[in-house]
Amino acid sequence: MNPYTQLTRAFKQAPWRAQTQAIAAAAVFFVVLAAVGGLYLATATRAATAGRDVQQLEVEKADLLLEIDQLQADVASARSVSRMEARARELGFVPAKNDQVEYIVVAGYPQPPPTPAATAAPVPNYDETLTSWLAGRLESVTGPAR
Amino acid sequence: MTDNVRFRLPWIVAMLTVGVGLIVFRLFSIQFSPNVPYFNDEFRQITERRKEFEPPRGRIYDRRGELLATNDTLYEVNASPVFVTNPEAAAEVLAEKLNRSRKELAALLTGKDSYILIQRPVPATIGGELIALQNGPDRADLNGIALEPIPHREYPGGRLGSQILGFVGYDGRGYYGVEEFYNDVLAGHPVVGVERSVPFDAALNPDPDKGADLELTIDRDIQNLVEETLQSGLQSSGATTGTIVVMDPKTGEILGMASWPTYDPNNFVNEPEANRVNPALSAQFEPGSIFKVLTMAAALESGTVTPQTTYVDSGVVEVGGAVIHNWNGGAWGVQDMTGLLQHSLNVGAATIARMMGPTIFYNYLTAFGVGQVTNVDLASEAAGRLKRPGDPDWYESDLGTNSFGQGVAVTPLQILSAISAVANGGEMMQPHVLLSVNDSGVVHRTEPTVLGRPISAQTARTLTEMLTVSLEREASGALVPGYLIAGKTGTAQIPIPGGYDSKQTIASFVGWGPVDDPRFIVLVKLDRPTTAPWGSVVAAPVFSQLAQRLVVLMQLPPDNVRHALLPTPTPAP
Repeated sequence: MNPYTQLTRAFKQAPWRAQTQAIAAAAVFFVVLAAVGGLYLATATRAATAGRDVQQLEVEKADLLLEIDQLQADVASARSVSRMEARARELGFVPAKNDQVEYIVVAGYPQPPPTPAATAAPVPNYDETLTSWLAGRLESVTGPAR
Repeated sequence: MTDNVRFRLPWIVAMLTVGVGLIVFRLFSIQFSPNVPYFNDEFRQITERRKEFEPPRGRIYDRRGELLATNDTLYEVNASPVFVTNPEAAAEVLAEKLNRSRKELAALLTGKDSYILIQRPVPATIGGELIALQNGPDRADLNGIALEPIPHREYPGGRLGSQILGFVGYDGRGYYGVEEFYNDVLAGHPVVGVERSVPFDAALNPDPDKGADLELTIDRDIQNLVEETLQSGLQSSGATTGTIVVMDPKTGEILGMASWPTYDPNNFVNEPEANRVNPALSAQFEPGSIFKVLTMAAALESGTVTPQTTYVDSGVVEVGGAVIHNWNGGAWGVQDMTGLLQHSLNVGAATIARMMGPTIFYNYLTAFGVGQVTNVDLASEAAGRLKRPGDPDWYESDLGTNSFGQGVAVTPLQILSAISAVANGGEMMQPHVLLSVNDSGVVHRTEPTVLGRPISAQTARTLTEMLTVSLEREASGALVPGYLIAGKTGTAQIPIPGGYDSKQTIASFVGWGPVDDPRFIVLVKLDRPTTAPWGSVVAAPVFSQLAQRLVVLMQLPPDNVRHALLPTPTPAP
């Protein structure tokens, strides 16, 4: 019998062997149970923390959206025509009149296609009086006056 | 180990085992009992809340991107007196912030109610200050006081363009104008979701389909100019009410539209309800002589007359038994068609209407859209009224009176749209206020649509020239230095039961320019002017005043400058 076999047999026949096995098995069971429980607890805690973060972020998002809306309304109010006009007048500006505006052609600037200009007075001035009209009518009936 | 311990230990172990066993048993019995649905319901009732997640309403911009309508928050301040720990301190803070009586508030806060409304709405600034106090070192003073945000529509321009925009009621719905017409687009689609208070079950709130932003054809600066000019026109003419509409005749885009009286949509509750309606498209009136533009267009297009056609104006004509006189009761002798327009002769208009006959005349008026809605994209448009042969209340005399705009009801926008066909080479464009819709970054643009082609380009050009000449010859107050303008004045009697008001009139002017490349068409309508009854005296100068500023805002150079700067057009072969 070789020494390894002797050692193994002696170990198996040791009187404390059965008790130790039971304790070890129980210990392993509890360790596994504790590990699973711990993992579950850790996961649940993290999920709850994440959930709480989500809730807080949703509240924060809602507050920020309200704030953005409010700020946009404030900006729009500050840019309203009445305020801008008052501010411009304070700074010494006045509304431009048409004859004060100078127009220039900017090379390459897109322009609307030119349209043909209409003539201002296509219809001849009508200066015929009632008398001359009657005379004309009579003439057309009786022939030109001699 | 003592015997005592040896004796007790098994009992303790046994009791613990039984205890744990009972707990485990109870857990199993709850988990698998038939009452599980009940327990689940109880859990959900405590930890979950069904909630409608409202999307933010789309914003409204003008054509240059200036904000016309946006969202902000107002607050409702309420209290649960049973939870108010220091009513006197809370009343003092609220009295100062809300400008209320401290005594009254203290009395409210010392009650036993679970809920009392203190004030609604409260401006955002005050609400923000109260929230800051609730989070500050003296927060205990405001125990039991709650601030509930209320979504609110804000119109930064106040009254500016209010009758175009409409307003949003406390129920979140749009009323009148763009807010009502495009309510479904602006409002988006709310989503019903579940809000969970247990963090373990918390999830992201559902994202509702938010409302689309609208870009309008309105130019904020032109709108402001229109409103200022209308005010000035009302003051100088003594008119009680009035309307001005500015439109691009080539596209049908409404650039500005104002009526008086108007209202502040930020404070619609305290404004007269009648002012919320937009008279430019809801109020019907007898247009008077501006209607002669349509009569002449029909006569030219049908070949009944040419610009050179003449007639003898004896100052009176009888059509269907009705005797028609000119505006001054006088006879104007021989007149051509330009003279008819220049002197705004009712006898001439009735004469050419009779020459056309009812079938041709009314077919053209129908083609111009008279008596029909323009289908402008604004709420509450009226159709007007055009009696036609065959209608029980149509008489032959209507042919004569209709020819100069009497006995026919139109809206300001309708008559402007009809006459815009003359300005735009015979094509009548669909009037509209929507330029584009921005739906979450996807932009849909509105394309100009032709509403009809009542007359040919040649007729439109001829009539434009006649109207230009008639204004120039008349040295009309509507003229704009440096620009060739076409237009027509109108003075309409106001119908009353049994006839027409002998003293009061509606003075109007329709004009467009520059005539060779029309960029704007304007209707000025002043109701019941007191300084003078005539459109040529009170409405035409208002048009001129408006147009002189309009050309600056629209960056339209004077005709000679434009012709010098722009390449000379190649004549058509």
